[in-house]
Amino acid sequence: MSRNITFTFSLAALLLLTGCKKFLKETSQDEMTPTTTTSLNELLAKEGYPYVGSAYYASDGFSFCNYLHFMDDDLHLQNMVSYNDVTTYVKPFYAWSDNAYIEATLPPAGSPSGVSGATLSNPYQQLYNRIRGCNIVIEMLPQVSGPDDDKDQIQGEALVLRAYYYLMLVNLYGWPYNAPGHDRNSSPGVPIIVKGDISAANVARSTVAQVYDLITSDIEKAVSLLEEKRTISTVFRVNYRVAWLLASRIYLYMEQWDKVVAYTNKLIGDYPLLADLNLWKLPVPQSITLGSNNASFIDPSNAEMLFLFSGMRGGDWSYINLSYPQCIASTDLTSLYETNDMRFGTYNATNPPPNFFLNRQSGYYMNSKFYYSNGEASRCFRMAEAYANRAEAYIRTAIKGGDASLLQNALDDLNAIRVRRFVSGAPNATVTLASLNNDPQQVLQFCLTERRREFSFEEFRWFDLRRYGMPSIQHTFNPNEPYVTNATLPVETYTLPQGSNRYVMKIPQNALDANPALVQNP
Amino acid sequence: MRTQLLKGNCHALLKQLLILALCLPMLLWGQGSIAQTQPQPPGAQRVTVKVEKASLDEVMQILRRQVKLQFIIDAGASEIAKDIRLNMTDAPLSGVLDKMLAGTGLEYVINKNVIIIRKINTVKPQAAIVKIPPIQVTVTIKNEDGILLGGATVTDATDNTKAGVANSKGQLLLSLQPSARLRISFIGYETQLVPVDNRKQLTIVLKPSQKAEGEVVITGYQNLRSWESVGSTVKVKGEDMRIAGVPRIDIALQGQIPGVSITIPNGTVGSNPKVRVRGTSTLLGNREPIWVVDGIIREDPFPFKDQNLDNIVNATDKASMTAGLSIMSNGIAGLNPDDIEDITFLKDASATALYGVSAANGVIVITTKRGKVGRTNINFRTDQSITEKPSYNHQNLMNSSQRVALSEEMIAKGVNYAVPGQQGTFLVKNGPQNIGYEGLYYLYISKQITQQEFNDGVTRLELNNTDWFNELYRYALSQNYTVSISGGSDKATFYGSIGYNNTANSAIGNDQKRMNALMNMEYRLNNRIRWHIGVQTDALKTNGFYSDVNPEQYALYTNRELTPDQYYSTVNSTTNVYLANGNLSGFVSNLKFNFRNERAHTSNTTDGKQFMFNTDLQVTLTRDLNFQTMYSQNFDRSTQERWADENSYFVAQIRGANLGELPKGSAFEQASVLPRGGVLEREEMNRDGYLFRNSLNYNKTLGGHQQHSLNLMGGFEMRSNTYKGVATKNYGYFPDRGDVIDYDYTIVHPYSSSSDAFADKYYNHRTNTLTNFVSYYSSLTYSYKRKYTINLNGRSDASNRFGQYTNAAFNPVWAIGARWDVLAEKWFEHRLSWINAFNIRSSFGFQGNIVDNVGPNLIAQYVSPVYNPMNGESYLTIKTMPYPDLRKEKTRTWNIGTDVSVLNNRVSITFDYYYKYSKDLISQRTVPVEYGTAQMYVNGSDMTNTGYDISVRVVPVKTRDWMWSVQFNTSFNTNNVVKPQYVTNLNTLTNGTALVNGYPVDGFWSFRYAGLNHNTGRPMFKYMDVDTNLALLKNPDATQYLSYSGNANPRISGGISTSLRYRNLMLAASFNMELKYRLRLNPIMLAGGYGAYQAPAPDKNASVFLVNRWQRPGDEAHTDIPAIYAADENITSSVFNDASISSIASSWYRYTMYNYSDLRVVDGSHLRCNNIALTYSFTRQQLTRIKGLAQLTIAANVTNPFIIASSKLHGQDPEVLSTDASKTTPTLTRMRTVSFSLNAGF
Repeated sequence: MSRNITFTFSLAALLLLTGCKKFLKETSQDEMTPTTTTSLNELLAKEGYPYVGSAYYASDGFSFCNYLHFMDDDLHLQNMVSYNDVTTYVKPFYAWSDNAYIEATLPPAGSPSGVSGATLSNPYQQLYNRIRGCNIVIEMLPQVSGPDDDKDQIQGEALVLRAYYYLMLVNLYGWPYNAPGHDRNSSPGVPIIVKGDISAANVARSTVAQVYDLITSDIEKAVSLLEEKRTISTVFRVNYRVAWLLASRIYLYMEQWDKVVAYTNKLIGDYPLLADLNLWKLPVPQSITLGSNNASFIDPSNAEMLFLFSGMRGGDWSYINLSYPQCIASTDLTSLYETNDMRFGTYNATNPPPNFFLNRQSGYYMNSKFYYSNGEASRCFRMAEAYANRAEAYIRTAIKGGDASLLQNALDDLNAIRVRRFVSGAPNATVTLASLNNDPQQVLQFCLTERRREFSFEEFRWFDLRRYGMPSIQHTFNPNEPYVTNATLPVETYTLPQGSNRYVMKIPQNALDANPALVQNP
Repeated sequence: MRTQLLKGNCHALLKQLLILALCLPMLLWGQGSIAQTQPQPPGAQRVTVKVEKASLDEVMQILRRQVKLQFIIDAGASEIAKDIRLNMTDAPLSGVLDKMLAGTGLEYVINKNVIIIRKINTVKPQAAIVKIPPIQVTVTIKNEDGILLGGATVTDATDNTKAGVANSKGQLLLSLQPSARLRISFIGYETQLVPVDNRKQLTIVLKPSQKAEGEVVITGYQNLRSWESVGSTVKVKGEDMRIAGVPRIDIALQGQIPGVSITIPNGTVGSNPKVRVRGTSTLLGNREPIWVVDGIIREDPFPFKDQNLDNIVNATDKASMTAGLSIMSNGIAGLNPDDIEDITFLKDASATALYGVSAANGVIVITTKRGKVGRTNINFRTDQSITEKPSYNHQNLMNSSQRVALSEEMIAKGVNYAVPGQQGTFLVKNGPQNIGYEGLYYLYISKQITQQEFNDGVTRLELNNTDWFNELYRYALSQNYTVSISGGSDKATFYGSIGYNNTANSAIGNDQKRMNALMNMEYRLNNRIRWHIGVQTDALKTNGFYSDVNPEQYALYTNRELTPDQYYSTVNSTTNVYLANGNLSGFVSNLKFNFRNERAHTSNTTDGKQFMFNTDLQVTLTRDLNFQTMYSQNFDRSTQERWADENSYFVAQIRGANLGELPKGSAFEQASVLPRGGVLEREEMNRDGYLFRNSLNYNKTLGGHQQHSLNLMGGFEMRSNTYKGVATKNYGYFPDRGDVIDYDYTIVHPYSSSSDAFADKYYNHRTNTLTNFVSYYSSLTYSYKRKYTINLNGRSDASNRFGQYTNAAFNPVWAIGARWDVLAEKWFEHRLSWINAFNIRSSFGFQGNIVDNVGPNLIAQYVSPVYNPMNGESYLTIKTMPYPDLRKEKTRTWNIGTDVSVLNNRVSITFDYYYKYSKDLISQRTVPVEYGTAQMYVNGSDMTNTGYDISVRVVPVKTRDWMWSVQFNTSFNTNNVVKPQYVTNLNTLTNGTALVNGYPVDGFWSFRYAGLNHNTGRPMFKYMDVDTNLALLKNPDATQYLSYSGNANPRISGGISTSLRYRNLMLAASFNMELKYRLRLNPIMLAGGYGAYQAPAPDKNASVFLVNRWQRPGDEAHTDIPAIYAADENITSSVFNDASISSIASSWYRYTMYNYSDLRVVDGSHLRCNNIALTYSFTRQQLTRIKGLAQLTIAANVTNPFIIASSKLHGQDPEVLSTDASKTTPTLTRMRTVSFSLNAGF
């Protein structure tokens, strides 16, 4: 009997041990270690790409720098007492205060309880967080299984994104590439992190030139990886066209005009599409609670869009915010639009043409390129930029002593944009060299103005101002307008002097606290 | 790579087991060949003995090898029979013995398989000559409670022959010499010697054995005899831990066990206590010990993820958990304390090693009751309890006339709070409206009421004086009933019980109902096989509070000027819509709140059902080898449901208006996120577990004097646990309209005042986790003469947990220990006869702890919902970054202890000293933002835990009528962090989570209070206002300017229990003490936004201490209560280097500093009386009138009668640890409960 039991036990033990491997197979319902290109692709979509579609990912909805426009000259701040918290958030930036970021996130001094500061995006932290995603994907790629084509595509996308993020970082926190008096070889840019590991080691700021070196090498490599297969998936993914466009933007900032022309030529040759507002159909709002059913210009249905990103949630007051008509388009900007320009108009639901770019609400013009709607993207890369970049590069080349016929090429590019923005057949839609007196400087001015009209509130203006020699600009704030009627407070005027230190953002305090190697901007 | 390694390990183990399996049959065969001689009568067995000058012991040794008989040598016999010479081959055993003992004065007796060699009784022959005829004696055996002890053994002490075993009625009939003496023995009782004295009826009452407690140590894997136990263990009887009115064993254990600190942070019925065995030795991992019931680990009904609370707990429940209102039960909440036989606490590495890595925090082993051989007993117990309701006594709160006076004074001094429309527009939005004195005053100054109406109103307010405790609390009645039945015969025993418990909190709305049943059956199929079957099941239903429905907080902080039926508004909400012309139209609603309405229209319930089935089979393979196999299947089904219906304020906030206010069918109604219906959150969890365990136990005693005893145990265990569940949230819940859920998620509400994010309105998360463990364990114990024992325990676990090192290698845990029973030394015994027990134990063990969720590989997680409808992408997110350098946490534990018992066991002392060194503890540290993440995990810190546990039991008085015993236990624990890789900041230092080299884990720091300002009455602080040194305040190391306040957890914890018995009356009391720790006082009133100090809001009550606040220069000499202003001074981050202390990480106030100052730190040491009980047991004489009643006890019991603590606490409960002074949320107080119990046995 005892022998039988022993035998049974031994047999049972044997049987159980053969099942050991299966019994101990790592399982998790919701966790995994990426081992394929498919997994890495999904990881890149979440960790490397900018946020998009905020309805489902509520906390991720910010654009990278939702206060950028408070500082440029396209925006005007007006008072609205019942929502003075908005003033509180915007004004420190609007006044180019030294500690704008800190002031905006604080409740105003002496304010009673219950008043909070703004919820602002922290671009420094967010951009580096996205860079981490790109770095991890790039680092893990060689170890995972999958077709080489997929690996090239994923690496290319990650490099495009990383180049874009560093371009944003260096332009927010460093002096411009060609800023007079700030040698790019010594002027501090941002720390360079290109590895996925985390360590506690402090990293110092690289120079502006070093950051641009990284950006150009990333974009060049991305272009070579992506332009071979020329894969296009969705408008929410970067591809070879976005790489070309971003390359042209990078070289524009670096003032390497020939390269701008080279990349835009490639792009326009490949995809010459520009959206014609005359053909664009806007659905009529179905309900009196506006917003949800309006198609906007920045929309996946617009074929001009190359890449869409950034959801929209709170804090980005520059767009048409019906509750708070405080951040409106400056008269500086609105005065630039000509008649028949459909980019600018009065809202009229029943009688088109509608207005696409600047909309009139409650008597004020506000950004209406996208609507507040949980699920939409608010930032984009689009074809018009290729034309605008090429036009500017042509003109600058001509001014530098290049072929004067390039000026006509530039006007052709600008007209290509304009005819699709004006009411069809409008006589003032196209411009000729003659109307600009064949003066290269006037052509350049026209080009830059067109750029401002076209790309208002698309995060161009601040960076363009930096490129244009950081001119002096002025903001006014009238505490009495428009809702406070009984008060007679003095109008406040703020001036940003030419080449001011405030053309460079201060590095956020939390970054300085965590990394003693950082040197704050003046 | 990993799978390769795994395979290798499996194979290695396979090999080991194969070898074991191969060796086994050989071992068994060897034994079996001897067993063949057994059928012959003992004396006829043939043996061969050839010895020269051998001792009796040596001959016995030779004989033992050849026959399977037991030899017992009477004391002194060895001395008589020396120099034995024998030369016999294949002779009958009786012949050999006859020859050997001839002429030695010794004789032998054969009794079944036992041969006794003893001196020839010289009296006996004479008695034989007299030939007195034997008499028939009826013996009845019972215990002191009158329970008949079937199965008791009776031996005739005159000739040491076994006389018999009592039948199930505790009786047996014997034929005895009238002069015989009987020895009656029964397990768990003291053996008695009774002379027959010619009586024909003998009734023998056995007393329970005092030594019984220490006799067997139950580890869940082994039952160790006392001299085999080298580790630090404590065993208590379930009965002794039973407190009437306390339905859970974990709470009842508070203060009873040395080295086990139990904190009960709140009095909510259904919330779990915090249990710490010998401090903590991990920073991120689980710190709770594991509970084992009948050898099976009791898993919690919901999966535990300590570090990532957010993953399993939604925001609502997290809020109620932080408020101490959680009603999620734990694994043993459903166990009926009446079913517990005993509880063993395994504290050191040696005791816990057999449980492997999961036992790093200690193991608590519970054994349920089993049936005993004897007559069938039916036992009935009931407890009826009544719980007091709290009152305003000692709360130091204002009554309504004091509160009106405060408001009057504030307004007179121009420090008015938020008079609508007067103090800035945001106050219109956020300020309370038309409440109390301020509201009335506003109506008056805005000329809406006359002076007369105003005066009448003020008088009315002053008289209101609502007693919120009276409104929201009750005298709560609780009941407990248990019926159990037990008994059995030689073949089978059984114990079964059913119980019902209903415990109600004095806070209306919080109660718990429990039903449970337990059945334990044991069969002895033959003398080799024992089979046990156990079934335990329970159903537990708890009602708690919804988030923000906290009666204690409401009663404490609500202005008593308000009436209980009043609906009032503190906030308003605007719903916006846009008209066709693009113009804005807003609908403003003042959201109305009433506590009782809120309580009635919200619900939070947990419903759990648990079932456990376990069976084990013990087979005696040979005399020395035992095989045990055990299987358990257990499962829970738990549901947690939280809802708020459309009548509640909670839903009104989401809706943006009171119910019915938004015009039906209007654009405003369309714009609202939740125009109709309420919110339902429901979490369902099914846990399924099984365990399969096989072990072999080899027990052998060797040597001529039986001096070598060896115990070898090895086993294999498979454990699996699955959690499957679903958590959902729905908008549009109509509990009163057919329990319907109806909501259209396709409608977008872009301008709603509440979030329209999909995830805020709806979720449906599934949980599906499977945890498998394969473990091998073994234990080796060697003992020499039961004097010196060494023990080696080891265990190795492998699991399927993801992303861990777990399956890269089996995780070995081992411990070695030794024990010296000093008393067993002969030299000792003779000299100090007053010592009854004295031993010294020592152990060393090594444990590796695994912190969940952190591993060497990048772990990605699937994102829910499955795809983003915007771009069609499916996502993977980074759950944890790869930490390739991360190692396991290692803890080395040393333990040395002693047990001493003196003066006839009147005084017994157990002392244990331990030292734990935990190395490579994983902690988080801040890294530069540029790495894209805020923190990383590092194996940076070490920690030491040193301490001792003492328990003393004294019986100062023990007479026939009086018995007084005192038990005292205390444990001292101190821990220190060594070289932490941790960057401190103001926030972590002041709230006690910072790790600082050389300081304890729970140390906390405070600002240095330096009096009130002479001119303004605002608090001042050292270095800031006094001895100003602003550069020092900029120092990133805040410990430079903060003062160290001490540790937040008690260093010394312990308890005292005492009982005094006079005849049948017993008075018992138990106390819990926690000493040497510091805590912060609750704020003198609720802070305004982000911690500002300003006039209290009109709906809020204030502390009477405010009466003594600073009011004019000079007051600072005799008060530390700051002056109140309309706005507090904002101390921005410009003063200090970091602003982390602020809830919004940017701005904070002097009042925040005041609350975090050393002024507000007090000593938390206290002694709490847990209960006092008076018990009367009826004597058997008293009970004879009631037929069938064998035993009756009645008792009265008071729990939480009083607490002795520092007067500086002003009534604050020191057990509720709060180092975070600004966010204190009061938890339900543990109230005094009076219980009456009745216990009857039939």
